[in-house]
Amino acid sequence: MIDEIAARFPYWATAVLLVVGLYGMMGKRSLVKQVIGLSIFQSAIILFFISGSLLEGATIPILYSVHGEGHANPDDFVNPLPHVLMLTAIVVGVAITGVALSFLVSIYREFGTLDERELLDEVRG
Amino acid sequence: MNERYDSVILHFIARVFLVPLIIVFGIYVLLHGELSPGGGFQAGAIVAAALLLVRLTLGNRQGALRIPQGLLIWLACIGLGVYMFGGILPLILGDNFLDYARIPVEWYNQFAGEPRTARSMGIFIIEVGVFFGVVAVLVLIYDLLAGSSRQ
Amino acid sequence: MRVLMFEFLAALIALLIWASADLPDRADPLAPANQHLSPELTELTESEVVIPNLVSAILADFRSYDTLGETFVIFTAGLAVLLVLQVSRRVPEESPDE
Repeated sequence: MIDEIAARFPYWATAVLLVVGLYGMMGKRSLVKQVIGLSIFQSAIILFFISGSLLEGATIPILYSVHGEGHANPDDFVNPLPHVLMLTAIVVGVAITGVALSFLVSIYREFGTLDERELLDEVRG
Repeated sequence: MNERYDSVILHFIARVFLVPLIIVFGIYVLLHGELSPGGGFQAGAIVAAALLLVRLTLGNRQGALRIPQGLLIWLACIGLGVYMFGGILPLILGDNFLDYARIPVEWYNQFAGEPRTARSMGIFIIEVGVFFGVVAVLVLIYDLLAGSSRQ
Repeated sequence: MRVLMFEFLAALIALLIWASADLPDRADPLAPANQHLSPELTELTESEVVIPNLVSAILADFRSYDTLGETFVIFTAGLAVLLVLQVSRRVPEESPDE
């Protein structure tokens, strides 16, 4: 039972975070909260990839054998590829949040509100 | 958005103690990018955090004087240019784009001439480019978003 | 539509948790990603790109085109924020009376 929970826990946490992020994007009227939901959704993806890179009894992917003796055993290192993908995804996520917030600033300056329904009413006239 | 708050303790801890320490640590992370955990993206985020701390303690108007907006745009362009330079240099030397096996590094260290030294150098060039791009863009986004409500 | 949202989200979370039963266990050495990708990348890094940091080797050598694209994305994001905020600030200054 405990083993099953420990083996599945990252996936459950990912599912909960995905749904929380989706709820923020679908159910909230404030555009700022929708951007927060987008950010939560993104961290769920990052958690999923990083939990997929784990390996039993492994350590960080630094090959100290490169400048020394012996050969590196791949079972000693966690999978480095998800780390690389998420490393760029985090920085790009910050950039995406920045662009979204700048759009919000621009929208607020134009319409004076960040409420979804008021914005729709105003756009439809 | 935020104004300067005159407190001796805040200014001493933030500007005299923390900011140089964070910047030195960021440069360490950049220089050790291929030897230990580190790299351009991480070092860029760390140094950008130090620059944002300057802006938070001094207030945006005074803090932004240290690295003005025009310089940040130039830095972002320089970062991308360094990356493209690291890609085109092997092209000039007769290899594929971004294939660093033949970068000339005779002045680098005693392992010069071996492909592994050249690859290490190529990766370092790439990471310097990424570093400047990330620092400039993160600080630029903060400046624009924080200064936008000031008018 | 709004009434159905919570039902949709509950169904989605149930679907995701049900689907996670087919994924490999956490930290499973027999997972496909750990069986094929990781050994090949470790071996290539040790023989071709002789640097210790596997993440940097993949980021800046095996996947350097990808990183070039990411740098362009970050640069473009900074440019987009600059254009959106600077241009929309400058419009009221040019025509203050309208």
